[in-house]
Amino acid sequence: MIERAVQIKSGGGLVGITTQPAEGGEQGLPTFVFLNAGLTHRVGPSRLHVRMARALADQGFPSLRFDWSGLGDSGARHDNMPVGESIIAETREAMDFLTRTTGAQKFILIGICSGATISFLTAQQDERAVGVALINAQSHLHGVSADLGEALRARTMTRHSYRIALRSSFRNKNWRKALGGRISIRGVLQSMFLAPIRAIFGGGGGAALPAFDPVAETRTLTDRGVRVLHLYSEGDEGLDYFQEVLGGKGAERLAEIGAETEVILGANHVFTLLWTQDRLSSAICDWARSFAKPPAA
Amino acid sequence: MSPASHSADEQMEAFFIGPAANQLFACYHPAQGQANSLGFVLCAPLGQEAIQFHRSLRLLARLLSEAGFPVLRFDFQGCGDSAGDQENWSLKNWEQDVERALQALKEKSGVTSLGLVGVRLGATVALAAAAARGGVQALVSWDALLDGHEFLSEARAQHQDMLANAHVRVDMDPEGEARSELLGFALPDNLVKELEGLRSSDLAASPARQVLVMESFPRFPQAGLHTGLEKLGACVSLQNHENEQLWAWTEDFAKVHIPRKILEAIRAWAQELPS
Repeated sequence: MIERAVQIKSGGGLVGITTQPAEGGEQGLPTFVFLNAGLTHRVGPSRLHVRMARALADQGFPSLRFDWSGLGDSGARHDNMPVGESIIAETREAMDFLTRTTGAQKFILIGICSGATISFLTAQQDERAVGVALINAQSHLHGVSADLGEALRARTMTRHSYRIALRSSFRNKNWRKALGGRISIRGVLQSMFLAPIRAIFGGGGGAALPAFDPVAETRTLTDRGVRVLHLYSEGDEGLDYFQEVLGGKGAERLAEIGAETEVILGANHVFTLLWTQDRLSSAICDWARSFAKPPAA
Repeated sequence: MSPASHSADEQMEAFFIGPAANQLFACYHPAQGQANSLGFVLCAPLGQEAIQFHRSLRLLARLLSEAGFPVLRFDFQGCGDSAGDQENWSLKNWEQDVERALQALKEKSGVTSLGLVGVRLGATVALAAAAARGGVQALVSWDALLDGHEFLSEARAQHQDMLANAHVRVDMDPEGEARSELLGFALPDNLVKELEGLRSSDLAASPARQVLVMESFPRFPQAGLHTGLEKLGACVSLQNHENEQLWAWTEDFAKVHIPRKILEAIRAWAQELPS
């Protein structure tokens, strides 16, 4: 495995690290592109991107992890491009860079949280993407209406409070905390009961949502043969968004169009515990293996 | 070294120091305007603190380089983008990394005087490396770990607090609860042993002629370090900028804290150093 520091002439000057597998591996495998998780620089939460990049290199997959303009080690942009557009443009320019410097033609976009959302949106615009690994993704399956996003946000939070308190594997721990006075029972009850009432009568998240089709959003990718993996932590709000927009059988609905879904029970948003990091890394590597050519008979 | 240069207004070069097997990722910030003969190497804290503090160290590098000081920041072995993983975590390894970074700074900038800025465990390592090698002109020690046992107790308490409050289930670990971990990172036994034996009073020589002891975490007072360094003959300043939340673990990516006042205080101290 060889890691190199690279500079991509895009935006404010993007800094990244390419990881190339040792020579002798399978040729023509897609290149993974890791996108920033929130404001965390390219190494990812708990250095997860570094760990996954190296594990993937051991399986023959090259990768790039880089910082969007203004994050990590990359410079700031000086134009007026909205950030929602610039990060997609820079991700595509990072793919251009890899094509120029390594000959890569096919890419798998991978990210946690906002990195997952941008992976999905970039793949919708760029046919070089052959896979997206969406870890704790939110806000990607309902199109671009800001009002719809606000309404969904309110519903997602209410669903999250209910699920964590009543149906998740954390429920006993959380009720023990509440009974022990370590969290506010009033706050829990407020988020479970008062928030939805306010949302309904206040005209917010309880209002009827405009029509949208999350399966069709995903089909924009799967119809082109793009492999889509949704991977959620049990403790993450993204799982509630997924269930809110797709319903309780969301995973089955997406499976019908070839998209995969996996939930890691007992994990939080940033995979803080080591065993959850192991589980995430294994899940990504297992999924990546399906991109390799089957062995000759 | 494989360089990558910044083209934007903030000049910076990203590159690796050394051979691939143990390469260290580094960013070099050349001096802006009239270059000072003194340059600084920045030594990051450990684990989650390093990730939460990345942006602050980059800003500090920028402030110092704008003030005319060439700056090099880097990731220790097993940290950030550098080679290795937690198995490479060792105070002795990291002291060698400081030396490699200082040499890289000299090669890049041609400075004749060397300075170090260390934060938390990075400060502890910087103090030890500077005391062992000699010849360091200026050193900033920011919330150094002065007692390894105390640091481990505090860090483990934060980990327990995370276990109690975050949506995590340690009991679902297929390997049981035998792992030694700290807020997202493995804690190797050899590092624990080193830390358990760590005392700031072990410094046998002054790490630098000029030292700024920066204290921002009230639970780890730095006055003892100030006194100890004075006894060793260093010219020491102690500044207190209390910021209890600075080293608190947070799960929220958007809650990264930038202690701008402290960063500017370090720049001001560096600008007032005798030439």
